[in-house]
Amino acid sequence: VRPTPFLAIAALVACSRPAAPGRFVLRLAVPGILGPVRPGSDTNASAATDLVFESILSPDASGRARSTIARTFQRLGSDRYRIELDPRVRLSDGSPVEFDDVARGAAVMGVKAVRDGDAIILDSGGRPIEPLLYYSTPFREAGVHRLGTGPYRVVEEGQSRIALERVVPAPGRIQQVEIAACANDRDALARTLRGETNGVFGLEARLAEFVDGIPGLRVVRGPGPHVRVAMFNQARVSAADRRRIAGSLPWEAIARHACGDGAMPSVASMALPDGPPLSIVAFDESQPVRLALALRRALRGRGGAVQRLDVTEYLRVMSAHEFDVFVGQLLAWPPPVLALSFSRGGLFNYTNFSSPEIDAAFARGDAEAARAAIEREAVVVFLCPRERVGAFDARIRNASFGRWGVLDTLPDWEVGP
Amino acid sequence: VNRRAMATRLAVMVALSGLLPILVVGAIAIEVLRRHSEGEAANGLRAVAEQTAARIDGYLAAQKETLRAVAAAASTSPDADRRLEEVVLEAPALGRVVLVGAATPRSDLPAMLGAEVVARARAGEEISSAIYLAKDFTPALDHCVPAPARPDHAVCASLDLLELWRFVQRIRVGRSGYALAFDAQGRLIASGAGALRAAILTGEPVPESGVAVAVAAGRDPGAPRYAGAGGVEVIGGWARLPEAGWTVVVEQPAIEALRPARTAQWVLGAIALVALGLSIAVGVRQSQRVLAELEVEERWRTAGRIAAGITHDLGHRVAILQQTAGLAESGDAGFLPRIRDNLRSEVATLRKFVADFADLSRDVRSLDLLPLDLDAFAGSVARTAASHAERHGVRIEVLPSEHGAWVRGDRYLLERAVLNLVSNACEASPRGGAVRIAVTEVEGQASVAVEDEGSGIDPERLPRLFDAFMSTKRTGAHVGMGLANVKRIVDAHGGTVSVESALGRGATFRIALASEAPPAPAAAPRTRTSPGAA
Repeated sequence: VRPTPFLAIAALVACSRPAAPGRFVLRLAVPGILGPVRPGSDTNASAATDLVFESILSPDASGRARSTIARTFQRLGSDRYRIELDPRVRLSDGSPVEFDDVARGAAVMGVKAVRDGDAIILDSGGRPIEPLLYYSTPFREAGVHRLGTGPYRVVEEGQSRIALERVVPAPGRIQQVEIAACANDRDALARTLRGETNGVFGLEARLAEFVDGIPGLRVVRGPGPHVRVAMFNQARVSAADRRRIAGSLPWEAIARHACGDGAMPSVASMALPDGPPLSIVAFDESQPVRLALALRRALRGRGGAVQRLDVTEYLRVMSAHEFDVFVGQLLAWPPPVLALSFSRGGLFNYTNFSSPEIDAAFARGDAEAARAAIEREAVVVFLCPRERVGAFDARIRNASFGRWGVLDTLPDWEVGP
Repeated sequence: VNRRAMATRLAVMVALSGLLPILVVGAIAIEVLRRHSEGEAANGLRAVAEQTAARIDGYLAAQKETLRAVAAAASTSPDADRRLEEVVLEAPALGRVVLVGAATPRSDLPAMLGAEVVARARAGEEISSAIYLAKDFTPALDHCVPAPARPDHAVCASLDLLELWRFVQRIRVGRSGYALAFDAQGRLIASGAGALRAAILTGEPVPESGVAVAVAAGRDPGAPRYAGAGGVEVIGGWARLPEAGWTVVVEQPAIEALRPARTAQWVLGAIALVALGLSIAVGVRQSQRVLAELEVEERWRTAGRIAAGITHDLGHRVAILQQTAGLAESGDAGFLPRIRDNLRSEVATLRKFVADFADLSRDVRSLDLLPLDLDAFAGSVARTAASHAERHGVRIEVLPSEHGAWVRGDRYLLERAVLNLVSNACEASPRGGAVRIAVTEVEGQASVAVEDEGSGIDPERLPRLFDAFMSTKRTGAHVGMGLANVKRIVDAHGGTVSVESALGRGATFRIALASEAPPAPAAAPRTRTSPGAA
């Protein structure tokens, strides 16, 4: 028997197999310069770093710490953790995670790693360690790109474009993520509305209804880790004054009206302590300004000038203590991250706030107690959560935002036909 | 012909002749309906656009009126700045409200109004900026009103026009109709069509921008049917906001707007088809019934004609036989030759009579078609008819074709047909005359013509010459079936038979058949009469 006809038939059969389902590519429009995908990057590549690298600790849905790379993790003190790596965890090239990878990632956040037999001791040098471990991501330098343990690997990284590919292909999930740099927020949104990209996030809440009804897009909203707050300047407003003021104001009514979009009726405050007018600073955005104005109205005679700030002015005003009350947003979830703003030496503690009670609570690892103390001392009044708003390809069935990293849930998004 | 097929043909013919005018009228009506629908749709959309424009205008007027009231109430207050700043809490749509004086720094002026423009407001004139997108990309418009009782001051607000978006986006016409709003320059400022919203952010023109610019300029924007976004044909209506100079366009895909007219077209078409089908079905049934009745009547009529012919002819024969019998009964031997001749003649006549009936009963639909050489065939016919011609004292001449003529035919039946023509020709020709059998082949058609030298045929008889029982010879040997049989046979071969005649100059009968190429030599001998037989 001559084999040629059989080979031809076999070739025909092979060619007639149904084609593999198309690889779904999520193309995200992100404003600004992207730059390299690396831990601690201060560029707008953070959406990519969340998918490529995994932190040593991360909050679960309830806010409790968990680890995807450590088999065990143990708190040794306010600034020390002991972890044992999970031997099953691999970098995106398939190699196991090693001590050096952990040490390299921890060092980015100023955390020192020391070997302890098979375990690793992580030391933050006196600063509350949990928030720092939320940002510490093991990685390895490997040629052009950096390797992480996340579900995606870097294929291309540049200032205008980043391409990621899923490490382990999963049918019905997003196989590739491309991030395109846009000139600004408006350009990013316009490109998505035109269909050049199929995902955008970081939209103002007021824009959700503008995007709603666009063919092929679905609006996604969800809470993030930031909260709208009114923060008193510890250096200029005494604890007693703060507590009395905080206890007198109808915060719930202020938040309900100012965080929404409707009109705010006059609100009645209880008797306020005497004192000089309080100067209020607010981010120059619609909601913080409304909160600031509502707060000033509630403060009546103690309400001073409302100053609108952009981001650069904000840092200067904070550092120089040129305010009595700040109205803006704060990283407040999960509770341990409050240490970044309210513990001595915290990464975001621009006002050098200090409270022994609060520091002690953070040192004990009791973030809830620290938050209670913050509220009791009226350092901060938590008003309303800041909502994340975005729009993604309508073929994605279960798109949602991560409560911590904005795209934490992306690997589980299911893609329909 | 099959009665059912004939009935169907009749029914279709009647149905079509009745329905076609209705369909033509219906088509005209549909076109009129379509045009009317287009006009109606455009009018409806224009009404929606006017309502939308009126509501937007009303909304803007209300905001400005609120600002005037706020300015009147707060501008004289000692803490006017603060009170105005907090107005946004009660009236979020007013946005940021500020008291502007000559000393107000430029940074506190409305974003889109320069100091010179605001100075006009301080001088007593109300001024507005063009619509623009605020920092959060929502639409806004700066408006300043003079501050009453506060000389050289104005109250300015950055009106939040998010409500404009909401309002325009909420408008739906039918399933897919939507509204668009444009500024005076034709820039899209609000869109109910999601696919166009990117243009609001980028300021790029959309297909409807031209319409908006024309409307804003007071020009006629043209026909209400045009290519909208994505090249989709839409029907649009528009209205202008006189004060703001904006334009509202409300449009709907033409395919949707004209759906009622199209549905009417389909319904009318379906009704026409059903009517046609019903008409044909009923027509077929009725035609079959009528044809059956006609057939019965025709059968009786034919039977009558046959009976009349037979009665006449057999009556004649009976009379002669009766006369012959009388001669025989006389016992006179001198009559014997006459009696013999009479009997011989009558037997021959009756035999022909029977043969004619036999031909009539023969089924010509089952032909034994074979190649036939007409020249040889004509010679054979001449030989067969020679004795008959001799009795009538005429001679038969055969004129063969120039290059040969072949047809495909049933030799026996064709011979019966041609013999009939030759026999008639012999009887019609005077003694000493000639009957010619001529064969020709011209451009794919072969013919056999039988020509006599008789007195010709009365022109009045010619139209019904080939009908059965139409012979007028009445010689006793003809019941009028001969030529009818000839026609039946020729028809069965797909050919034609015709006659040319002029009184006093004889007649020529011509059988025309489709010619074909001579068969291969091996096949030819089957039907070819041996040469030289004539």
